Amino acid sequence: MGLRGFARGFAAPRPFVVSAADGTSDRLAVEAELRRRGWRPALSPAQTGTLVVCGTPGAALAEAIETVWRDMPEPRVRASADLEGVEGGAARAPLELDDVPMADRADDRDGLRLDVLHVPLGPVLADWPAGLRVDLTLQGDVVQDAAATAVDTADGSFWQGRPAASRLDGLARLLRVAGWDAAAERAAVLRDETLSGAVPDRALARRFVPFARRVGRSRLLRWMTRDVGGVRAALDGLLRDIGAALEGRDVPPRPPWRAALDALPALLTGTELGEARLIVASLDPDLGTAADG
Amino acid sequence: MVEVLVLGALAVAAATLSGTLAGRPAAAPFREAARLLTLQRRRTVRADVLLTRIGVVSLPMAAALAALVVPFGGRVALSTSVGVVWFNAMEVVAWASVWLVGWGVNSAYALVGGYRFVAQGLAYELPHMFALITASLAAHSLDLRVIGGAQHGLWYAVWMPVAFAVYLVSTLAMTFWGPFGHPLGADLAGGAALELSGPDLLVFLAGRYGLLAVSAGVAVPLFLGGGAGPLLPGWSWSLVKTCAVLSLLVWTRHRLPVLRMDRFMTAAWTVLIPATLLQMLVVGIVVV
Repeated sequence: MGLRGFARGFAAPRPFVVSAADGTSDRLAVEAELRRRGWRPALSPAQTGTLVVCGTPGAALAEAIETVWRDMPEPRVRASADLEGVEGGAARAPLELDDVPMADRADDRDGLRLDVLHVPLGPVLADWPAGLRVDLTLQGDVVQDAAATAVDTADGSFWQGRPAASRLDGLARLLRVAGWDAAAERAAVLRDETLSGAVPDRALARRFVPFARRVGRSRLLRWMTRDVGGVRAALDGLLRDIGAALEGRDVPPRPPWRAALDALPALLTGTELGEARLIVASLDPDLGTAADG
Repeated sequence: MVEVLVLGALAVAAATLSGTLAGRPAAAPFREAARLLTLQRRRTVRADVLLTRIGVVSLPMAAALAALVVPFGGRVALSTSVGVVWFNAMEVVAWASVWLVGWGVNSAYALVGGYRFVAQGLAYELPHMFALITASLAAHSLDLRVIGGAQHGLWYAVWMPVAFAVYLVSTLAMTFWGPFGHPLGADLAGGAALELSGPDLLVFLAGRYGLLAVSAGVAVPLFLGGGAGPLLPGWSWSLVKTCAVLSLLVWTRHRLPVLRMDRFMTAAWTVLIPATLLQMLVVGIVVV
């Protein structure tokens, strides 16, 4: 036990962070604290026993979180948003090994008979809009059908009056989904600097320019986002708006999330799963605000 | 056997370098390893445990077995005349590893990660093989030490740059690293490795770093003149060059976004394969 105790003491925790619709400020605090400590967030709940819930989830989201929590590996810890308060080790309900039905089969777009899988994206998923669930019908990795649901909503206004930071947050998520962690991290740092108010906007605008140039001119990113449901246009729009907002110019308000959710099924149908994630990230619906703006 | 241990140490160094490039402390990979070692193993519903375990264990095994034929100067753990073939065969084991892990855990997103890797492997194995064969063709040998010794001051990287570039690119694809990390992508919450927890994940990821280190080590005799260099003994030149290639491979992860195979497959078949074939033709005409 001595060795195990030492290893546990030496181990760097890697929390899985879930945000409720009203958890934006908590989530930003958690991300900043993780960065300060040199920790990384986990990509999936299987990879860790530490769960951090930001904000106050409604009943539906709380139930989803409870399911995830029940299946996380030991040693389990449920940390508060300051990563200090710890509650864990409680006896867990026995894992119910539900009998999963066999997949149905149907013709796919190429006329092959393939398994049809019904799988959800969210609401407990890394780099995903808080409170959103998209139910997918998949054949292989191609989306045959999609339905978007707002599982958790709030009528807060965290991003009100913070146009640059709000878009930097969306940009960071989009870049992470695009598999470019280093650029996403840079966007998150710029976001936090913008929010802290410690750095004048003029200096931030200067720091943003080379970053925007690097992201905007990346040929690989351009290639990977071209003709993917408006992702390229959204990315260019984000870069333009962030630059404008940091320079003190007016930027158009973010569209209300109801419109994004209505548009999702048509946009996602027929895409590859990776493209679907990019499309959702590019729309970046903020379910923490009023549905119709 | 020292050579294998050196490559193992380089794999650990690669993990450290990757963390450092991302701004994490140098001890981060060791603390992560300690975390994974003390984390419970977790099973999914109706998982094929045997297949999953075979997938997890075979990845570091393949890396270790491939390391046997990697020469450092004139020294090599296992002296064989078909080192290139052996190395390539071990790389192909990685296909099975990732696919078995993605398939075995019975999770839709892990399965999609597996699909992605099979597509990636199909796109990259051919250009990769052609790049290996081009170097062998020029040296008239499949023995990595002979290939390294046949370059007489003019590195193959210089006079067959296409083969060298394709080797580096396809190596990233075979080790699903950096811009080719889509099979384990963040958009699938970890892809093929999504459901692996604790020691399983540690062993699997260690295997990937091992493959990365071995692939960097093989690039040296194939394209960078093996242990040739002034003053220092051969093994140290091999080590220096391996470190340089490995650093380059690790660095790509922080410089480039991920490539999706649904888009990149076309480039592999219409650009990389013809380019490597042309390169091979040129080399063939020159040496014959």
